[in-house]
Amino acid sequence: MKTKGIVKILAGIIVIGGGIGYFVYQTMQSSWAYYYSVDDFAAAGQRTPEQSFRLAGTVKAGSVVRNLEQAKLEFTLAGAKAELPVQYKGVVPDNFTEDREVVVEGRLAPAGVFQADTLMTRCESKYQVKVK
Amino acid sequence: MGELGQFALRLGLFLSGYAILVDLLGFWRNRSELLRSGRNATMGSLLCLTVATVALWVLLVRSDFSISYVTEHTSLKLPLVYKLTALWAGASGSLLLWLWLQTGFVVLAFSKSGEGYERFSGSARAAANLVAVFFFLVLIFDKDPFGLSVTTPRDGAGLNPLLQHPAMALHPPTLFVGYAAFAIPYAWTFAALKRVDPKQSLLLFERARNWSLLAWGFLTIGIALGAWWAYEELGWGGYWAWDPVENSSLIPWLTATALLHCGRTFRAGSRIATWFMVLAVLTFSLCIFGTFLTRYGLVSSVHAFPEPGLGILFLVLLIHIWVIAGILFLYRRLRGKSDPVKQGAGMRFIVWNNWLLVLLAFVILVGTLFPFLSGLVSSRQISLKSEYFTKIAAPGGLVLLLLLGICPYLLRHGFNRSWRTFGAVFVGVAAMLVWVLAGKLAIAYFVVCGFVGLNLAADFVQRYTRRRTDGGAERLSGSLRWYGARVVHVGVLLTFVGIAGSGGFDIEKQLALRPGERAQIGDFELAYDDLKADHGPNFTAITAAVSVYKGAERIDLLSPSVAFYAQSGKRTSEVDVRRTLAGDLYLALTEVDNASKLINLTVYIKPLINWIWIGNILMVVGTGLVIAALGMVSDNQTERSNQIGETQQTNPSHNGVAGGQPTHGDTGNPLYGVKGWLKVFVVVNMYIGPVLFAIQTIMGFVGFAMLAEDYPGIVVVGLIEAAVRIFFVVKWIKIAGRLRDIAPGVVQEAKKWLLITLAWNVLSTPLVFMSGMDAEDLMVGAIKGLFTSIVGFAIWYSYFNVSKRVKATYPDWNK
Repeated sequence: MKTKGIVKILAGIIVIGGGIGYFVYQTMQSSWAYYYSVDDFAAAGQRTPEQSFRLAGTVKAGSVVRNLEQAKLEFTLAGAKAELPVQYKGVVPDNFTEDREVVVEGRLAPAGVFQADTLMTRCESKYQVKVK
Repeated sequence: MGELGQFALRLGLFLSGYAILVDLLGFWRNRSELLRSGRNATMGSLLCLTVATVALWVLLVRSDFSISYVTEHTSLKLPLVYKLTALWAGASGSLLLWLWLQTGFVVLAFSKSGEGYERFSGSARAAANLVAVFFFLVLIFDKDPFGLSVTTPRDGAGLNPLLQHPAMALHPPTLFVGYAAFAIPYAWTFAALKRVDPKQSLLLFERARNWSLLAWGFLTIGIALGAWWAYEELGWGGYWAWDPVENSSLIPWLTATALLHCGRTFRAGSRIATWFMVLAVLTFSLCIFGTFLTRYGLVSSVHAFPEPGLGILFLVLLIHIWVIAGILFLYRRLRGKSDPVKQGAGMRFIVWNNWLLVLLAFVILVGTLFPFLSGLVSSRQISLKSEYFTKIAAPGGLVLLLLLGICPYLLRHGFNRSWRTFGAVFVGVAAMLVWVLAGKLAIAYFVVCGFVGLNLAADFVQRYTRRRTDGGAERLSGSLRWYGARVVHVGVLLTFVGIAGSGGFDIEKQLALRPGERAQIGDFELAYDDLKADHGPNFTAITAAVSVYKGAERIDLLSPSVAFYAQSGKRTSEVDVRRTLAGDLYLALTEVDNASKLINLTVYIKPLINWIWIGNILMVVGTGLVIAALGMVSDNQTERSNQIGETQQTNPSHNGVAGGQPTHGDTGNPLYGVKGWLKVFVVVNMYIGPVLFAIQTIMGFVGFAMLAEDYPGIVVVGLIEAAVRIFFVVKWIKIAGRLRDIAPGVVQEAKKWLLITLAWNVLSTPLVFMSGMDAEDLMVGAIKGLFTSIVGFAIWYSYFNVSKRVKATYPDWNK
């Protein structure tokens, strides 16, 4: 009798655990994104994965163009050695400005311009400040 | 001042380390003088921490820029209130705050003297001081709050205007109160594990449980404040981004929820008791881990602020905790009884609940750490988009919600043939179908929410009818606890309603508009009227006037704005929101061209989102009710625990229970006893009053500080009033305690102090007028206050004079 109970529990765990695990795995498969810095990406030969991926870099000074007619933002994302033009349509965080560290998520368009779906800026000055 | 702070920290480290040694030695050898020394050392450590915290505050208020912490987080022009809240703006200050609060809580929770308590408290204190030692080491050698600036600048860096918001000011301390309070159940667990006899584990269990409730409540407030701020201030229409920093507060919250549910009853040796202990240690270590995660840049995030340092110390601490916990658990297992204690049949639902919550927490944790983990196994870092979290959390939340609806019923009645059991199965299946067929999880949510709402309503109705038929034989505390828990569940339900509505049915549009142009979104039509510019001292604010039409009728005018700060080149935007219970119409002005008056607007419609905040408030209110209810019963439990304690053999120690043989009144009289309104009076003055006072003081603080620029006198008035009120609060706590313990002469004392309190309230009314503020504005408030104090006095003074219960309980009431 006891073995029957254990078998039942084991079976339950396998079924439920397996189900959940599979579900989580599937979700992961569709939601992951490579995370590159601009320099790494350039060094890797600018090979674009099928899905959207993330790029981290700094907004190059003087490269920000705000296209109000099309509600589009264009700028150059710069690393230490490489840089990449970016186009973004969407909400721009308030603290987006030149020389800010940002992370964009999107795809590389054929023309070599990165089309960003998401733009995240590093929260500034709360914990780390460069005191001038 | 800085050196004083540093010295205080070092002394605190020494005292904590010493306390661990004496407490453990005292526990092992059963020497009460060692244990008392440990207790005193811990109090000494608290004193040192108080000195350090006050020192840092003084430095911040004084704007002493020779200290780098002050330079980094404040500036000369910063309003006073934000100079004070800057204490927790940075890593070192917040760690100091955490440790200070935690040591304070430990002293409060584990200083009870009396048979058996001393040994227990000693080992609990040792566990807490272990953590304290590590925190001290970090504070002294890594993140020194009193470190000097390289050069003393003339002005500090100031606080990001985005963070100068009341919600953001209160968000860190509420979280830290929560984190610090979780140290109590953790320390209790370590102490309980050491006692082999299961009965001993009951000692102080109620305390551990009550503290975990308090901690959970504060953690909830903290998370809610953060979400609210994000929605209000960041302009992206969202409140949660599954960022690692956010997740590191959510993950312990989930395990803490499981912890709460394990605390309902305690049968030493049962499986639920083991769950409670494991969850207590787990929750606390997740709090520590979360801090480690966000401060040491394990995972890159736009919120993580990697500061290189001795992050390894946190890891070492966690390893210590888990190794010791592992040993203790094993020890208990080997030496304890082999048959597990029978627990109620309903407990399995709590166990399901626990598993689900822990699983959810684990999955979120893995997702958060994914970039780090993937970096270990491959050359590239992989991060998971926020979709991962939503896709996992949403269904998980749905199952939890369903359990929330049905389990309280099942706990009591088991799987019987009721509309509830069948309904749960039916609704579960229906929700799944809806999700698969309609593709919208939000609809499935509404289905489940409806069912849960029905369940909760039925609970309330059944309870009410039962009370009427039973003739109201229930104690106030028992039903208050039940109602409080239900209110929390209602709050959770409403929060989910809000999340489903705003998440599943929201609309977002990017608009480019010229003056006079209109745009349609949802049921609304927006007409962009005009642009207005305001010039301030260091900024220019551009406001767009947008009229909102429903059909042909103009129902609202919204004014989103952007402010440009010329000097720093920064910009901030203020969203404008039309709030209704049905949803929000949220406008953010993202781009402005002054010449052509062309604007870019981002518009969101967020249905039902306000129910999230309402739900959160209810969750906290419900928690407050439960804590109050538990505070009421703790007196009886104290006596029961004392009996257990008496069987212990310790060196003769003085019996700390107040009043060995109090002079009781007529014990035969059915009215005898601290019950009814008398009990209400005691509870309000001992527990609720101080909490309200603390909240009022903080809010008053904020209010005063905002006014301080214009009316500096108000600071002085405020400080005087606060000081005197602290005195009164403490006095009333003492009197209430003596009322509860039926001490001699307490009724006269109470009446006397009611008079004195009234006198102070009346005499202090004109004080606020001396601050220089406009008398008309103050008049209403002053009259209200005066009226309240007079009425309150009249009620309670008469009560003590005419109440039969008072006469029955206190024999010397008329002396």
